[in-house]
Amino acid sequence: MTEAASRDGLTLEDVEVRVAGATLLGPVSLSVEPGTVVAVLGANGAGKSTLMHAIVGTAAVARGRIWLGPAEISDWPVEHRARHGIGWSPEGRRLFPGLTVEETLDVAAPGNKGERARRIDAMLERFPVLAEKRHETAWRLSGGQQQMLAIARAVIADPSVVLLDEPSLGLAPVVRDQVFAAARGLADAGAAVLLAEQDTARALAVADRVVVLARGRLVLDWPTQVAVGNPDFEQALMGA
Amino acid sequence: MIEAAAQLAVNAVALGAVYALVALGFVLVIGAVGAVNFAHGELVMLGGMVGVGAAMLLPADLPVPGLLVLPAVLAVMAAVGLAVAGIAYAPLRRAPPTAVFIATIAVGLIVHHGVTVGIGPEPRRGPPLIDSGILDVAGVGLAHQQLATIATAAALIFAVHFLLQQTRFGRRLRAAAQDPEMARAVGIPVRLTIAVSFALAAALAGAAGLLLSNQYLVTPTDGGALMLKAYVATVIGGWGRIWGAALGAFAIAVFETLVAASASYLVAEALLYLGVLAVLAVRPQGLFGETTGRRA
Amino acid sequence: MTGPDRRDLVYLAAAAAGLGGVVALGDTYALRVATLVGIYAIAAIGYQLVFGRLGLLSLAQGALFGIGAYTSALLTLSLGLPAPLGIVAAVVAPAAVGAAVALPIARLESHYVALATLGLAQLALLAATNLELTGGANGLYGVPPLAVGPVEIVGGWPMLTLVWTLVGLCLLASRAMLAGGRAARFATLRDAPHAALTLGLNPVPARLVLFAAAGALGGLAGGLQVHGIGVVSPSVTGFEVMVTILAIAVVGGRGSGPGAVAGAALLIPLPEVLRFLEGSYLAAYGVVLLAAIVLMPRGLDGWLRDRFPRRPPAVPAAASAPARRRGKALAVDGLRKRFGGVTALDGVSFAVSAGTVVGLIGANGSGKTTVLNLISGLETPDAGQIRLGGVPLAERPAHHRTALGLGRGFQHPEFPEGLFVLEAAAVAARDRSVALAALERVGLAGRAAEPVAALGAAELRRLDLARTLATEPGAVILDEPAAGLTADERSALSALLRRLADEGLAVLVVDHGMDFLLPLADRIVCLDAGRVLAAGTPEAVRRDPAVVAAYLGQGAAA
Repeated sequence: MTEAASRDGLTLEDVEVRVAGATLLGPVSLSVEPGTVVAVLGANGAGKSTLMHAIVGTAAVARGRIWLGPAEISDWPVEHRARHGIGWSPEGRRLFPGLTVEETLDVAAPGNKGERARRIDAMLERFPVLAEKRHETAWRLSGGQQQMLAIARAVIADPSVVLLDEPSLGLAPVVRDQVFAAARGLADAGAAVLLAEQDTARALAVADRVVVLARGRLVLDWPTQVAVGNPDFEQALMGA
Repeated sequence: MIEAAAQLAVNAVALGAVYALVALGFVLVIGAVGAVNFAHGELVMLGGMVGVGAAMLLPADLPVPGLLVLPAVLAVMAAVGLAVAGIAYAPLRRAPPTAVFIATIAVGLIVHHGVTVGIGPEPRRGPPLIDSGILDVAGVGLAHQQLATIATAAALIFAVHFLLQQTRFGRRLRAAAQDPEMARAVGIPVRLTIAVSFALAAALAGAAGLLLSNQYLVTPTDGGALMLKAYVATVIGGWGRIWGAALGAFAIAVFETLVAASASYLVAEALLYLGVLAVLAVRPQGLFGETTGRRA
Repeated sequence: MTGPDRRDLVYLAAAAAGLGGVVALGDTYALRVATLVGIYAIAAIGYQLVFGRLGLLSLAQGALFGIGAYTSALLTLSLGLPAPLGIVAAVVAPAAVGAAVALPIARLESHYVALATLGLAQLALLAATNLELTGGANGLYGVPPLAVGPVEIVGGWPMLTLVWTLVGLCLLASRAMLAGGRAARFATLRDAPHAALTLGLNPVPARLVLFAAAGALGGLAGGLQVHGIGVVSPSVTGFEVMVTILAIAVVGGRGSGPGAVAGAALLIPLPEVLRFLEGSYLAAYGVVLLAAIVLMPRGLDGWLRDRFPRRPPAVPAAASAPARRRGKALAVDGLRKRFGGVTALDGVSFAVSAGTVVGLIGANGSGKTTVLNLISGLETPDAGQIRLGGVPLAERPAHHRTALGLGRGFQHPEFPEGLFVLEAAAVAARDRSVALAALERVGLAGRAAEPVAALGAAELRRLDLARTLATEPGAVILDEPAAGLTADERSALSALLRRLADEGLAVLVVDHGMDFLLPLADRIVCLDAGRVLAAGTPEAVRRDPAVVAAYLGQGAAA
């Protein structure tokens, strides 16, 4: 964001996730360039969240490799990935319910006290709805505020890759617009953003590329302008 | 009459403050790993014994002997807590919480009967925190020990509150207790926070043991009842709620002191267990339900 | 169970070796220890029923042991009853206590089961220590020994023979209690409680019977103990007895009766071996218990099972044709459900005629699974009615609905550990030939004799469908049965569901996409935010502007 020097992109190479012998995902190959938003579309159960979990490290990769810039991170522990450039806003937000806005940002921020205070202030400036709720506990925030907090928590360490899983779920249309604007803003500041969504229209409006998952497999990977209005794209989406 | 009432009140508050320390440690471990630490009461007893032993090493005429040994008790018991985490939790990280529960029963047996074998079954008196004097407040004599117990327990509770609420480490510990996977995904070292939770829990238990050891003596058989009271406190305060459990423990102590004064300790104990059974019969999920969503 | 398996032969050999050892030692001391082993084995065989089979960490078995001991002591001392009658009372009273507390305890959150049972045990200890009736802290003395006519059974070989005969009988009784598929049903109730309910298994009788049996055996052990040594003190209700039984159960292997006997044989003599520890052999029990739970979590019996696997069940020669239950129409009317402040369903109505397949679609969180949970009875609607063949279901418990002809399949089916495929399919069937027929229908008959653990996720889903079909339902509701299947598997599943409908069943299938349902379903119901957005033929729903908008988003629909 501020120090947008050389940023790392994300690359997946034939990644597969299996649970109890069943393949939930893959093989999926995909790359997200710095400064771009890639929208992941597909029905409930198509593997969007599993894809996110594989990148974050909370689902074990059975085959294939994940790269963060030049580094292969497939075997890194979850917290190590978090400290070295993977930020995640999970489906359902999963905020720490007893922590305040400020505390939530503090536990996720790197650096010493002054550094963390600086980053928290920067986040509150970027997400003004959170500034007025600075000392409110997370479970008392509105849905939109919670989503903004989940995004702020994901990006406060200035990750080069940001994963947003269903950020618009359960939000009013006007709030959805703010969430998607925030996603675009992250990419414009240099991050590689992977956005899983069911609100296809809004996702397409901010995405540079769009991929469609169906039953764990990647069935389509196109630039957004090619996909919009294309019957094959709509077919893929409806059949998924 | 007034004097008796004042003494009773001080008694209740002193005992309540100590029970709150015990419950605080108990619920910290529940939060960290989602499992009951059945050995927690034995750690209180062990802390008392460490206090007795440390006081014997001190020259006889030092002032404030109990306060002098307190840091030693905290340090030794924190190490014991780390050992408990290493023995009874770490190998069972992927096992169901019941396995951790049973492992802590085993640790409790080892501590309880290890102490009995090591130093014998008889009760021992720990050092007074300050001295055995009496403070006269408007004609009411209050024991220094009880006042110092209240002050020490309050200071420790305040310190824990400060650690959990005001330091980043405490916030990270709370975050990890609420959602360990998400905590790791924002970069929190969850294994470390779990180890520290065990250490902190044992240190608090040890301090409580030291505070109890002068007025109530310390006997190797003490642990079970203390653990049970902390367990009941989590039913009253809400499973996994840190300050709820501490308040619940305080309430138990007040109840116990009042009933013991008007009837007997036996009646207090029986009513406590009957009460908790009645609560569970009516509300199987506990008085306030869940906060963490995880089970033991 | 077909005859003794090789594991049982190992146990018998070990028992013979133990007997040989006692004969070789021959002194009264060895006899006394061997008798005590038998007494604890009986208590632990009982404990396995609650701890192992129900999966509840009860800490009251020691108290039930004590209640048995005091009951028999009091009746023989103060009423002058003959000792054998005292023993009978020692069995009956704790069994009654066990049955009385079974239901309230079994419905507790798991972390409170230990607390509640420990509270009960503390109350028993307080009563034993403080009541005048029980002799207070001193306990009761001079309890008469057991006698058969004029012959008194005091210590030595007679007592040993009596106790170990009873151990054998208890093992046979507990084996009988678990025979006839009951072990599989108890395991399903324990490990897959939701599936158990929708398969019509009622947890209440299982809990009552197993708690009562645990109490009976605990009490029997206590009664034998008190008549063997002639005294009883409050320590018999104390925590030491409880942790000894718990350690025996864990070391022996959770749930296993013979394992309990082996565990008792290993642990009870330990204090004699470790005399230098004096009274505190319990520290050694702590070490053994810890080592067992960390290094050998399935205990001795699990270790033996790995070497001598259970024999697969006998597969019936021929599958019986399932009894033709008439298909039953399923209808929901005005279903409403709120969770906290969130409205999950807001007046959902639709019907599935007998002989048709209806697809239920909708986005994430639109309420599909809630509809299935309300129909199957896992959750209760706030308003609305469910009818199966015209019979209202909303007020009936889940396990009644199975008997009326409702079958439910799960998206992520749960199965208990250690069963064979045929046993898992037969868990709610009239008999095994019906289960085999159901396995045939889903294409798993060839694997009937394999362990469930050998199946992959897609096969587990088919096994789940088979155990549901084995209840011979008139209507089935299935939650995303096609998720994670390959194209071939999906077309096989589709053909099977079509065939079920052609036979007259009403079939309701939840799925998230259209491609599976389009060729299969007669009608589609599309949910959105807890309401029916559209309903009709697949083609009509697919073209419905509201559905297109919900799937593609407002902008792209234009």
